Amino acid sequence: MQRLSLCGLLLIGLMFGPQSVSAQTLTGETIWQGQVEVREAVRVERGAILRILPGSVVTFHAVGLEVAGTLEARDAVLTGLNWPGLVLKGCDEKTALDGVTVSGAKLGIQVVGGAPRLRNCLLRDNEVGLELRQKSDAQVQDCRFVQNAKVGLFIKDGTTAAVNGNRFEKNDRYAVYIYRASPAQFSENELTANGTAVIVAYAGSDPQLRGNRIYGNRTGIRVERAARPSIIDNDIHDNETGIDLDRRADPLIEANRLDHNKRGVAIAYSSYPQLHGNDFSGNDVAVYLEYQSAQWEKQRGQQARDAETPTRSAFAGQNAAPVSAPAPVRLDGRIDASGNFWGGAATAELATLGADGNPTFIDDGRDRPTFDEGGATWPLDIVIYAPWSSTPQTVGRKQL
Amino acid sequence: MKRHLFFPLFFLLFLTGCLAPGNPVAVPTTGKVTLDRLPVAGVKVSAWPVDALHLEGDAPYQTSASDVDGQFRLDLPAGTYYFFAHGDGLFAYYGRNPVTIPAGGSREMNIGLVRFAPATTPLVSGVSGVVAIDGVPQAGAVIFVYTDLNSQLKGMGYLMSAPTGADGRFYLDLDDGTYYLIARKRQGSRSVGPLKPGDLIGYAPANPLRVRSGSAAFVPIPLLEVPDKISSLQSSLFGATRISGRILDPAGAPVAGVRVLIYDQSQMLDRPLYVSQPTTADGRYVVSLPQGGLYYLAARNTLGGAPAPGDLYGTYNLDPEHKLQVADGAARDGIDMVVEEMW
Repeated sequence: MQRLSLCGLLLIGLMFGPQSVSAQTLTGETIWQGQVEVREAVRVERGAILRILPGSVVTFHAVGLEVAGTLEARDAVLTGLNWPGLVLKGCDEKTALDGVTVSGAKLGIQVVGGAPRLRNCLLRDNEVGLELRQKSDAQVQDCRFVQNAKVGLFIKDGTTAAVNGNRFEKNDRYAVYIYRASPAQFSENELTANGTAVIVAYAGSDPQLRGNRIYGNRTGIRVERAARPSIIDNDIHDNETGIDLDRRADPLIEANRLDHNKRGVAIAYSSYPQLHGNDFSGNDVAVYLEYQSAQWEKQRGQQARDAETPTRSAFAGQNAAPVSAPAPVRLDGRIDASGNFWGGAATAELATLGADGNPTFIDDGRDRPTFDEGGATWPLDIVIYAPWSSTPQTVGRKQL
Repeated sequence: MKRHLFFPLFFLLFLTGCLAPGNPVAVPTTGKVTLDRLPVAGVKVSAWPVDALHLEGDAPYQTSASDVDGQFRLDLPAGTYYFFAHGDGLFAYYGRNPVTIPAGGSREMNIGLVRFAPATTPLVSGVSGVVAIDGVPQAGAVIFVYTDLNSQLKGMGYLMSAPTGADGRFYLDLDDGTYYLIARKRQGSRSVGPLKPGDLIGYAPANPLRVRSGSAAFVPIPLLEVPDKISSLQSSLFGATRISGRILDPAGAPVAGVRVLIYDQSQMLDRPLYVSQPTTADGRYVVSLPQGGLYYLAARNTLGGAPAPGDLYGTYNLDPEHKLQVADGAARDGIDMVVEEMW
């Protein structure tokens, strides 16, 4: 193994054309500048520093960069064709990427533990843009995640990162995937034109999603498999489904503005949210129930979850893990959605219907009394919408 | 005439006596013991059946001393065993323990020895120790504590220590009881899954360790690198019984980097019986089995815990229960599986 131990600066690039990097291990202090071609995997050892200067374009030829020391990069481009990506392994806050573009990678940036800082970065056209794992305390701020094929930002393994002020757009499948993690902050982000803007999945995923703007996605926020996030004070509009709850999803949904979605909140398979204090308006359907039955939960719920293994699933398909969640506290066939503002037209409708009618903006067991599942017929739950608020409750709050 | 019948009958009775239950046929297990990859003479290899309650006292099977080439031969009935080796200042806990010896015996077992010196450091209380290679302390090793042999000294065990520091030291807060201490140090960021070539493993020679109130124990654990030879034996480790095939994506293209997991229970939970090496670029895998049986097959590109979103996972789907019957000595080739990303 050839070792580069450079205590001085490598400033060859500007003088002699593209700089070619073939060393596998960097120690001491190294600077990349200008056009840099990387043809062998490079590792920055613990205690070493790699600086990538502004204006640099680093092209990786099917190899990656692993940093166990410190990486400082600003206004630079890291790119390649299906290259493995950049790995920040246990890097502390001295590792800082500002204005860095990472593209063309299988996994643009993987943060394994540590607390690096990422600001104003662009993660574009990767399979996965950025992955935070192993209890990383990274800070991700004012970055853009664009057209990443699988996931824009993957937050997993107990990560406690702060994710603020970022923009996610045109990520085909998931813009943000939160898996068994609860980031310390997920706020002030803008998510548009994605497949699913945010998915929060599996027990142990209890983040607070606050003050985000989520619009123009197929699904705004999806919660599934025993995840219990708090969804507070978000603008969720013009999505096909604003919030989608599935498989024992019991989030707190409070003080959000849900408007002009085809379905404001969709609820399925034993999901019992706390749904209060929100403003609904202009949705084709404010609340939509499907495969949601207290009877089913009593008779088959736990059994189905126990059987949900990687090979056998009550929910069909190949699922990733057993769903572990306590049984719902109340199983009376009703979902409490009192205390919401249902919109101007809906409020007028309710003035006529009262508390025991069948409002047009809720699609539940009043509209479809039963459904078939597993060879049996089950009663569909109903939504309790009264008492309701006659006026919007989030007016005056900061609009993003 | 009677005389003519006597000898065949006697021979038959003799054979019957030899093959009677309770006198299982011993088959040879051969190999060599090495230190720093060099053969060592004068080392005794011993074996304990996997159903032993504890690994202490005299082993029921033991060789005479290894020859100048380090070669040994141990005759013992087909079955599953823990293998050890002891020499002058040398010790080995075979890294693949427990090992299944098929009916045809086993060969090419390479048992790596480590140097071992009894503890001399006094300790006031508790259980402490140091992990080292040739006396050099090793950082980043984790001590796994087991209370019995039920898990075959694999998996997470009863508790785990914090990774050792630069001095290789560890400390364990253990109540009264009997324990087995295994040290493992994995390369990279992996914390679960089978050890790979280059990883380190150590079995405390003081096992089973008896902890009593008010007493103290200092437990050195010598480490040994897991060799890479095992990968070259994937197709023949146990003989002719095997499963092989390809791992494909939904479009039929081969997938590299996927392991085949073989279970003996339909839920395919917990620890698999056997795990293949990762598939190569052509998607091919092969797993050698010690005996035939009914197996359940899955394939995935990660190990440890349930597959996470984005992981590749698939099962053998030509049978609705994902099971495959393999006869003793048979090669079940062409067992292809399709893996998909889990989301």
